[in-house]
Amino acid sequence: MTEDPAVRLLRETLTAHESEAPEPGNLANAARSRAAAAGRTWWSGVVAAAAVVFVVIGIGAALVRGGNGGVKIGPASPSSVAAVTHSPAVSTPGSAAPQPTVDSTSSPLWVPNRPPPDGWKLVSSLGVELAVPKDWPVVGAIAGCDPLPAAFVERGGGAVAGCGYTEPATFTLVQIERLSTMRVLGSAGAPATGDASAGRAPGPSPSPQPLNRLPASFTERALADGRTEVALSFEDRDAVVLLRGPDKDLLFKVFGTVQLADLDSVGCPAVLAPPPVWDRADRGSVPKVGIGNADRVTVCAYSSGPGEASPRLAASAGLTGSAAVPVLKALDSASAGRNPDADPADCLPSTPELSRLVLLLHHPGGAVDQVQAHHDGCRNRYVADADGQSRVTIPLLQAAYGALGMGFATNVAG
Amino acid sequence: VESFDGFVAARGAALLRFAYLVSGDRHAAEDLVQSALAKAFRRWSTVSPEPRGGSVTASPGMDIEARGAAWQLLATLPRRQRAVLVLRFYEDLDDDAVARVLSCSPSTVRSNAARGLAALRRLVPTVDTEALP
Repeated sequence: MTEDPAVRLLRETLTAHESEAPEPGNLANAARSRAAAAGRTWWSGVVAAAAVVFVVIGIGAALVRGGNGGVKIGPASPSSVAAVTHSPAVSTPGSAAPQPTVDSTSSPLWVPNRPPPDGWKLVSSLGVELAVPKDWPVVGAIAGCDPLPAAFVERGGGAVAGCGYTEPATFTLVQIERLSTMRVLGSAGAPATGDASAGRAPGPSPSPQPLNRLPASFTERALADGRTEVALSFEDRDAVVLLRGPDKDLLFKVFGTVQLADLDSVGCPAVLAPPPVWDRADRGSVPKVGIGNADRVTVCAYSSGPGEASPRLAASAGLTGSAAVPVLKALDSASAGRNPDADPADCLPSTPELSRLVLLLHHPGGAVDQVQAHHDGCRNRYVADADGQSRVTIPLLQAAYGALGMGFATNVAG
Repeated sequence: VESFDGFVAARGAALLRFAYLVSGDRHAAEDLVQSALAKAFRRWSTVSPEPRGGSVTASPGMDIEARGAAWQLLATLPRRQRAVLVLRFYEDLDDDAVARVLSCSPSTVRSNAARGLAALRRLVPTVDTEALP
């Protein structure tokens, strides 16, 4: 078959120019230096892909992503955010559910108590919870070539733009992210067009003010494309809520739903609690993790950032009915025991566990079983509950992270 | 299972070529590959590089003027379209693999490839069929 002349021209053109690419030099060392610096490579997030594709995704993502500018956080608008304090003695169904790691002697425990408006849903991450219209997608990573939806919520992993995009003037973004991440990326408050000279109106000068006993600060800016951008930062929590869109009233309606959440509405603590005594790799001979008659599942996904003492809640979801079935089925199908350790030649002993899943299995009688899923790294991968231990499986990770709209990274097989 | 150094040694140059062909900028290519590899290094225990297929070989044929015009045209294409063309016709990935890399559907890959090729087709030297015997 004769090759399409256009394809032939393309191949020849690309091949003719490949020699213009830079020489590799010592790429491996350069990459190590960057990794050690914990710069943007840490923050730019990971959409898991266990292949060379992983690397290519990173390149493609960076290539197509627009640039970002800086951010200045200004005076607070205390009336726009509500939160309530509760005593640390949170009533959580069942006996084994994880409890927030809150110092009850010095810190109030923030628990959201306001339901979302009709037709809206709650989204939680990093100890902050807010509500958005139900039809807005919630994702952990921006990764796709298809046209942007009218709006979406991003939380839980940072952005990896698979194909890149330019936010149209009609687009609405809601983002919950680590404040330190935003500062490293320089993206909080950045022009949506990626053009630092886009000509937004000057923002107020930084002057954080207390907000409901927490230091928080607020900015509002006009973007060059006519949209409004508002940001609320919580320094103490290293969290920021960023919203930008064309409908200012809608933005402030979302903004007005922001609540602090040491324990969010689906029951996930904002900070991962210390491991239960049974959560250890070497359990000896124990049965596989059982699901009993559980009919609901709460999925809590945690991630660690640089310098953080404990993993923080990246994303959460409460799964009921058919939505819970894939997680329960995958958990029930896993074999007893733990996953074999990866080849030591390819393990980095210093690599910490960066992400963790905690599943809460809810039973009709009200009991809740906690399940810890260790899938990160190259050894000590397993799923455990108080009575048993099973292998981590790809179907389980797909079901759990899929429910959160997040990617995941693992090298467990099957 | 390949070591990180082994992977970089084997694939670093190819990644740089890929990055350069997609970005059209040497500095951007270097920066992006280092950034991507740093990300991979941090997660190396979870990365399982797949064996690669053969390399692309080109046979000279199209005239240099057409290739120059094609290179210029590539620079004007939307980045997604350019990435699809490079992955599909330089890296020789199939539609499904390109879709996985770019996190989009195979049909999106095909439509982007078709659009890109349609643009290139205008540059292909035409044969004067009336002059043929």
